Amino acid sequence: MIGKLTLRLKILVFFLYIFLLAPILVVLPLSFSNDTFMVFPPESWGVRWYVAMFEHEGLTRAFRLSLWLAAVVTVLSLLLGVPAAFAISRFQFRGRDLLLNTFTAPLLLPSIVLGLAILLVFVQARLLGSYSGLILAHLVVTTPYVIRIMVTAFGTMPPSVEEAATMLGASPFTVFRRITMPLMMPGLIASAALSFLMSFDEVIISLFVTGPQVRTLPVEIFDYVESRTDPMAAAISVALIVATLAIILILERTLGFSKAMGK
Amino acid sequence: MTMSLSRAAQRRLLLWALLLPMAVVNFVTFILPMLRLGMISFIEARPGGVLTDVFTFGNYIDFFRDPFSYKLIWNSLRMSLIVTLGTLVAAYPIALFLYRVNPVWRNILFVITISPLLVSAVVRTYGWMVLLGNKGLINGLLMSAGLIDGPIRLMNNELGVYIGLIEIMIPYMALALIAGFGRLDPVYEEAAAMLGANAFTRFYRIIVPLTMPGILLGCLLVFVLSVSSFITPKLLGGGRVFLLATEVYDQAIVRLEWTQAASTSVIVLLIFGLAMMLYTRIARRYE
Amino acid sequence: MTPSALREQSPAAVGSDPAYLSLTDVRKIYPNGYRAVDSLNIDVPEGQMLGLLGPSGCGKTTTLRMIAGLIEISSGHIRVAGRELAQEPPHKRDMGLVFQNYALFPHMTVAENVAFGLQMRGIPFREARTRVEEALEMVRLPGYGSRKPKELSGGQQQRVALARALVIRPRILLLDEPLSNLDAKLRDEMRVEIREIQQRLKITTVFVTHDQVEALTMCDLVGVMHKGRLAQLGTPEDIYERPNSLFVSEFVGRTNKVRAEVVDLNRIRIGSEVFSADTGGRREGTVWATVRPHRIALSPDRDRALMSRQTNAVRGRVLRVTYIGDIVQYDLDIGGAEFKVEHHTTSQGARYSGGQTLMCEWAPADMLVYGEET
Repeated sequence: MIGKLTLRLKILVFFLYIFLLAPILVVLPLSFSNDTFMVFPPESWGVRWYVAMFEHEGLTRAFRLSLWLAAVVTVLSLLLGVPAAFAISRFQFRGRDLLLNTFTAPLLLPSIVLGLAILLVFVQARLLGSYSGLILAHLVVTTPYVIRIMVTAFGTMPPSVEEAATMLGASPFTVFRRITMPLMMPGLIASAALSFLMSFDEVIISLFVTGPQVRTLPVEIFDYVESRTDPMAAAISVALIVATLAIILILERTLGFSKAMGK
Repeated sequence: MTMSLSRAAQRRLLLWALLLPMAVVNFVTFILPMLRLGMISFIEARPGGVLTDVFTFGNYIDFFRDPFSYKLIWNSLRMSLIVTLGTLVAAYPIALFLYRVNPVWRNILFVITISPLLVSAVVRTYGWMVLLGNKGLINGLLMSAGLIDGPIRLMNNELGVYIGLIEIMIPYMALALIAGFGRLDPVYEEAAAMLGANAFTRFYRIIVPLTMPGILLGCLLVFVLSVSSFITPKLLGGGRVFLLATEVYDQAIVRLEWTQAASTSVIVLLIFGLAMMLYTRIARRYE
Repeated sequence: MTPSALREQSPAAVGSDPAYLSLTDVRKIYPNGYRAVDSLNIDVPEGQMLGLLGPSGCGKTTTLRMIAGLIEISSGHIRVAGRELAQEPPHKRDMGLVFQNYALFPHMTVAENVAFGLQMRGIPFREARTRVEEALEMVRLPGYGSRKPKELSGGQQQRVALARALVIRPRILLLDEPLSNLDAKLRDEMRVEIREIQQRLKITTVFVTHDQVEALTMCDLVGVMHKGRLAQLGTPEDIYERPNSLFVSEFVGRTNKVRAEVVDLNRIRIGSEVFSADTGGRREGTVWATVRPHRIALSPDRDRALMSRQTNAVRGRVLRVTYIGDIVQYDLDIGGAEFKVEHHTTSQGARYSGGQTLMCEWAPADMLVYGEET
């Protein structure tokens, strides 16, 4: 009786969830509008804007770029962040906490400030509007997540497990391959998924470092939404949501699959 | 020439090998840019955007002499505070609900609560444009229900920004609050009830104080995210909402006034620092 | 410490109401059909302590929580001083509840915890502060007011929980297994303290426990519960000496249990031997016979014919001797069945050893007979 859910709370929360999901839900029907201008509810229905989206060269190019970029950034983040997280968790050294804070500090700062700061450095280094510059810029926001997640993951994995394997005769490499890696898997999956999404959706820093040749999908969408008022933005949004879900599922399958294989 | 290293030396080498790549990238993409940002904020720029290497406080002096700057600061603070409070009021019932509901529903609803974070801020903001616009869903519903004659201004003003930002921030606040609810236990509510506390008293004497760490963390998180938010104010504000974040963008990208943009950014960082300090002071009282 | 200041101000004389707390046909049936409590009838006289005793899952805690109002009754009535409680929410019932894990508010000091109930009743600050100090003195924690619960040991936390419940001078005190999280020594101390406080304040109390020592030593009335029903209600002596069922005789105290055949109204056969015992009106059939280990006397083997016909006597062979300090336990083979016998030790230690044949005697009144249990 005490602490049970009252009807009032249930109704309130129901409407709060509608509020929370409204913008995402409303985009779906709008994407199937055949109107020339954005009117809700649509006066005519069809897939006109989906067709237009697939035919829009700028958008399809940006989509491929974002996909490729996210993949590269994810792999690099893991390669950089996982060893660093391992070192921070398993080694004692002076300045360890300071180093951890420095690695994760970008998470705490406003993207707008980060974006400008990176812009100012890239101008001199002539990295503006370049692929490598974009990759570096995205690494700033993805590596802190990888490190945070993997430090926590290593924290829940006591060294005694690895030590036990060593006492039983396993070489360091074998310990890593047979003991550490499988136990790391959930953390790796989470880090990879988050990295990919962060990079794929990243808009603010990308706005600062993109150039005419190199435009990511969120940047294209932002420009489009800012200037036009037709429902194609809705079609793009739905495509983006679907792509995000698909990516998560794929990541889950491939990395989860290899875990099932006993690697 | 082969050298066999001692075990300790081997470990040192391994440590360096593990840390160095990350440290290099972190330095190049974070430390260096931040230092340069600070530096540039003290540099004088010739008209036309060309940078000199003359050290000056001029950027800051100009900033603080300009009455528009104070408007920017006031707008940013005011907006962030309102959004923080609004998000707290909206997210707290959700966190309370998740705390009390049975575990099956809790997992499902938790995923639903977090899932909007997977969707890009641009998409979510666009969704609000669709809902709040003059030809959008809400106006359409109200007009067809005969409640209003003409469309009401829900967008291209501050109100639209508030609505959009609050919705975007709810998952962040909910996450922090839910973590804070970990300290709560139904037995405390029962003990309070047995001692004579009614539902209202139980709420503000037991539930709120025990969840305070989560509340404070959530407020800090949302405040900080609001002060730095740019996409939503730009799109839903219709060019009428002027904040520090939008100003940095305009100065840097539109007007190419990099030194001014740098100094404005430093001001933003200072506000950040103050918020952090305030948070740690208050949070200490609640453990 | 002023006990008089803490004494209940009841208008009537103590013990005047034989059914101060009254449970009539109380049931709790869950939606899936599970009967947690089935048809409970108990009257607790004013100022007395009722112990609800039973194994886990017997419904004793459910009953307590129904009295407190934390669980809704499915049917039946709960009355205090004649007034029906059914729909009243817990915070209006004026009862003190001490939880098993104490449930001290972690964000408040000890003093704030104890004062909470007084604040709910609008007691002014000065008076509240005095009463809090008195309550802390009563539980022997004077001056602990400014500490936080996490700084206290388990025993101290429990005493604060007790003070918090008593300072409001409730008309009923409810204790939910308050001693089960304490170590043995502390438990013994707290048993005495709680009972002393309860008697001094003359407060009607319900005490839930699975430990029969607590129930027997502390309570005026004991209700043994089993699978949601009341197995037996009586004084500690009633429960121990005259258990009305096999379950109660086995749950309270230690006992030997063996199968027997009814010979006639006063005799049963175990194996090849016949013993005297009250069969409770049975003339035939299979029954369970019980006799408690310390009611069996052991003596060196001798001729049965030389012994009184009034006692039950039979030979037994010692299988095992276990020295427990204050008692020594002998496991004996009597006619194929294993019996445990307990004797107090003397400074000479155990008198008998394994392999010996001894004469075992017990009074017919100490042998209790029961039918098949469901």
